[in-house]
Amino acid sequence: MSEITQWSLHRLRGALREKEVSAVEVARAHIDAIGEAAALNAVTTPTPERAMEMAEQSDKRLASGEGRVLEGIPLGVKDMFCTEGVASTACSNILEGFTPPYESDVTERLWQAGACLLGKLNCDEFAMGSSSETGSFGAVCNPWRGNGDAQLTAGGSSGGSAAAVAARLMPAALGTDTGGSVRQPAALTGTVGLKPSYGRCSRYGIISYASSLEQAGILARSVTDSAILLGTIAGHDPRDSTSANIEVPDYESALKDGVSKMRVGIPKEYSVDGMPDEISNLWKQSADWLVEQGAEIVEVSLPHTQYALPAYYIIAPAEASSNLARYDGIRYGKRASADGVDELYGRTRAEGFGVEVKRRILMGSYVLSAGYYEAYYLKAQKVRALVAKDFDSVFEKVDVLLTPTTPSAAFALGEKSEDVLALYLSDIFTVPVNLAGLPAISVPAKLNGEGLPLGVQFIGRRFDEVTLLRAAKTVEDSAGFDATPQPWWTS
Amino acid sequence: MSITPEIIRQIAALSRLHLEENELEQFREDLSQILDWMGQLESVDTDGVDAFTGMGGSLLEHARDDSTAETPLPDVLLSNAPERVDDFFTVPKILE
Repeated sequence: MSEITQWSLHRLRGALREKEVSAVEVARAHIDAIGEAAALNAVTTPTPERAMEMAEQSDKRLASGEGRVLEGIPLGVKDMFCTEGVASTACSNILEGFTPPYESDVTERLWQAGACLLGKLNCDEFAMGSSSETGSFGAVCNPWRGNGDAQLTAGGSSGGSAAAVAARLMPAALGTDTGGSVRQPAALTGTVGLKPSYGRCSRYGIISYASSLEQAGILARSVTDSAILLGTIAGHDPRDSTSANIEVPDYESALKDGVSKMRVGIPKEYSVDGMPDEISNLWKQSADWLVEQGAEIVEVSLPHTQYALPAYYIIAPAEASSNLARYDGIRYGKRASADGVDELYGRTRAEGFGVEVKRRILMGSYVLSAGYYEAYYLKAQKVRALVAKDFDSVFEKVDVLLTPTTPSAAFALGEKSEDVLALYLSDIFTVPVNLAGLPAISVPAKLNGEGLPLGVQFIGRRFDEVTLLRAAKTVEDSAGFDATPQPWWTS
Repeated sequence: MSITPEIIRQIAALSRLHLEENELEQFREDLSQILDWMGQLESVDTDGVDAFTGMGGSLLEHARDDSTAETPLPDVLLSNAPERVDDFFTVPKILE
């Protein structure tokens, strides 16, 4: 394993600018690492030729002093982003062979900043899942195994992105976060997972699942690296009417300020029954670290927290049933053989979608259909308004909230795949944020008794990623989390 | 909330999903279980609460300039079509 793959994005950027290494050497080291990591199943479509071409261009620019923000940094992106000329499948059979004729906004920003594409990354089918087991490319394996030898989930749905960053296949990657799909895998793989505010980044070119909830997100190995990438992918895009036309701060320099006088809220409802001591102790420890650095801790209440998850599992499938209506076997993707047009739709979708996607489409059609709309969908949207109002109220008293990211460390592959509700419950601390459109970040803070990483989550006011990142940096510095998984997958 | 076989058939039809008998039964059980769990929302007092409709901001704020832009060529748009004839997508015959 090359030493280069151990470097953070920030360190790589400095080394490239100082000509300590070339972009081609950096790309080669990561391409080799991906080649040795087939056992993790993190990458769906590697793009080594494209990476090398882009790296050669970067070396020319660096040589002539025209290097851009991310010049020569190799990255991967979740297979939910459309990448021009590179297969983009949402890890679904229904999009088998789909090669987009256009580029998503956030990935376009990465390439325009000089980054190189290493490949597309594995996830749950259409980002519907919390364990990266439901995709057409098979399950992602967590690089962390702790003290045991069982194969563990890397979380989901952005499990491929999280596994790739944790295993040093790339310094950072993009994911998407609809109910925790960046933060939960980050927590389970010892990486930093950032979900920006709804509207902070364009959703143009993200394969849609639940439009009012999802946002592009970042998986990285440090808060600083997340801040650098957020500065690149954030910004208004006229092609996405939900992207906000507001200023993008310099996140990287904003990190210099700490948490002195920052008011950090601890929502009591996040202390749930049966929460393992290792999680509650870490939560408390993180609060102590913030106090040591000058923050003030305030106990707060978000009374509707427990209703966020059922409301989410009404709203997200409702939007999914509508968004996924476009897969009809006619314009792109898979097409089943059939006699009439109704049979064509029905059989194409039956052959193309997996079980979890079908389950959510059916659930969505049900809660939106006449007779059930008011009892389920409308009720859920009212509860959503209450969840959002809870956050508005507490953000009058505090600047940021501190919570655990997940109720447990990584669980075994297959452990929850038969029990739908148990799997849904792994998003209990992450889902409320998406309902309210807030920014949030998961920071790795320690290993538990089994040698598996645990993370804590900060939640910020909408569009106040700066405060969020400062709080996260403080915990990161205090925790000094520098553990890395043993590279069993290369043997 | 128990979903009947008739209801699951109806929503499968609405969803344009062809399902085999055993799948219909499995999804019927799954959805019944999930809807039971969602029943807890009934206990939330939402009287007088306006349903969430979006993240705020006026529609006009998001209006773009009224100007024309080039659209991709038919060849680009059709490049992923599973079946095409000339510059057209094809569908099975819908009229006898």
